[in-house]
Amino acid sequence: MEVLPASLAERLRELTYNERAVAYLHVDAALTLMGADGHLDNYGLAAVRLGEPVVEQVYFLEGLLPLEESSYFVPSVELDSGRAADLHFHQDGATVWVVLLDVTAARDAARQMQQKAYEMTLLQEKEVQLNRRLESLNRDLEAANDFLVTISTKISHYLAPQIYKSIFSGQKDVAIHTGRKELTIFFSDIKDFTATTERLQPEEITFLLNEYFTEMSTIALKHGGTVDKFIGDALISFFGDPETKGTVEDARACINMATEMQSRLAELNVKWRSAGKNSRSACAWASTPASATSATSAALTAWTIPPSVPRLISRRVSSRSPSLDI
Amino acid sequence: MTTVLQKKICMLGGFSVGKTSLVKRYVQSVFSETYLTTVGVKIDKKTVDLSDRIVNLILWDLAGEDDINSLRMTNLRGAAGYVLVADGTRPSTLDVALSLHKRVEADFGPLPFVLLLNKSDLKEQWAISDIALAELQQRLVGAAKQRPNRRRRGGCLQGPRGPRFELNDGSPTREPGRTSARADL
Repeated sequence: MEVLPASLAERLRELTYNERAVAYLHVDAALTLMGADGHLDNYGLAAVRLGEPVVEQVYFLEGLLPLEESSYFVPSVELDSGRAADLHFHQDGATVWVVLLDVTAARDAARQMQQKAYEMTLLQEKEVQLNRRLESLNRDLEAANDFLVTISTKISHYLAPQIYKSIFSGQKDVAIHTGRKELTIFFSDIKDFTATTERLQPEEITFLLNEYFTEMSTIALKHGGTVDKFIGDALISFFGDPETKGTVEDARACINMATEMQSRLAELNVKWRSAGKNSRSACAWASTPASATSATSAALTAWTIPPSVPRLISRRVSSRSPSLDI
Repeated sequence: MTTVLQKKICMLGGFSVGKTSLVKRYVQSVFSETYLTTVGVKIDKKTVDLSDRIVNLILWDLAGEDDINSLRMTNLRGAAGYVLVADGTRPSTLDVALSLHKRVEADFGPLPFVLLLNKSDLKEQWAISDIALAELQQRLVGAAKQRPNRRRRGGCLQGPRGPRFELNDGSPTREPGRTSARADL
C-alpha cells in the first residue's frame, strides 16, 4: 500500500472526520458499550452510556451483533436524527467497532434522482392502466353499438326507408310536435279483394299480398314516395315528406308512380292468372295540406290526414275502372 | 418486573407501495399524501405494551424493490420477521412481493411474515381480484402448513385488518387498524 505524505494524510483524516461526521462505538463480546466518541450528537447518540448493553441504547444495532463476518457494511441508514449514515462494522479480536459516516448529502442527491425515476415509472404504469380501461370501455361501447344496430335493423322493417334514414341519420327529430305540410297522398287497393280471398287459401293470400306489396313498394320508393302503411289490401303512400321537390313535382312523381304500378300490376296479373289467381287494383291521389301530430301519446308520430281526403280518394277509386284509371 | 423484548422487523415490497407511510402511520400516527422515496433504509422503533411484556419493534423500512434497486439481503440479518407490502391498485407489486418472499426464504429460511395489501382506501381502483387473493392466501398458508415442525409461518393479511407481527416465540402482536396508511390506527 502506498503511503501518503504525512501532511496530506493528516488533511484527509481531518476532512473525513469533519465532513463525514465520523463517530464510533466500541462493543465488547458481551455486547456492552466499551467506548464511544466522535460526532455522536450528529446521529442522536450523544447520551449513550458506557458499560451498559449497547443494543438497548442504540436500537438500530438490533440483530446485527455479534458479527457474522469480520467486516460488514450497511449503506445509507436514516436514523432518528434525520441524518443518513453508512454503518461500518469491524471485528477487532473479541470486540467490534461500529463506525458511522454521514452520507446525508449523497442520500438526498440519490433520492432526488430516484424520486424522478419512480414518478416517471408510476406515470407510465398509470397510462397503461388508463389505456386498458379505455380499451375496456371501447369494447363495451362497441357491444352497445352492435346491439343498437341490430335493433335499428329490426325497426327498419317497420318504417318507410326515407323515414328510417331521416331519423337514424339525425336529420329528422322525433320530438313531439305538430306541423302542417302539403302532401300528395296516394291510395290504392285490390279490386274485389274480399271475393278473391274467399277463393284462396290463407297461404295463397299471404303470398299474393307479399308479392303485390313488395312490387308496389319498390315502385313507390323508386319514385320518391313514402310508403305510409298497408291496410288489408290497401296501400297508402305520400309524396312531400321527409323529402319534397315541391308540390307540383311531388304530384307528378305520384302520377308516374301510379302509371308504373298499373303496368307492373298488369304483368303480375298475367303471372297470377296462369297460377289461377287474378287481381286488379284501382288507385287515386290527392294533394292536400296534412298535419302531423303525436296526438296524446309519445309512442307514435304519424301524419294525420284530414278526414275529407280519404273520402275524396275513396270516391275517386270506386268511380273508376280498376285497371285503367288514374 | 416486565420483560422487554426487542425484535427487528423488515418492511419489504416494490417501490411506492406505501411501506414508509405504513411505518409512519404506525409509529407516529401521521399520514402524508406526498410521496417521498426511501433511499437505503430508515429505521424506527415502536414500543408495544402487551399485558405481560413490552416489545420494542425495530422497523427497518427498506428501499423499494425495482429494476435499479435490488434488495440487499444482508439488511435482513437478525430480523425476527418481515412484512411484505403490495399495492392493491398495482398487481405487479404483488408479484414483486412474492418474488421477495422467495428470495428471503431461500437465504434465511421460513421467517415469519405477513403479506399486506395496502391502499384499501382506493378500493375502487383495486386491480387484484378477491378470487386471486383467496387462492394466494390458500397457497401461502398451505405451503407453511406443509412444513413439519415449523413454528413460524406466514399468512396473508388483507382488508381492514391491522399489521400483525408474529414474534419468534409465536405470540402475535396486533394493533387495530387498516391496511391503508390513511386509516386511523
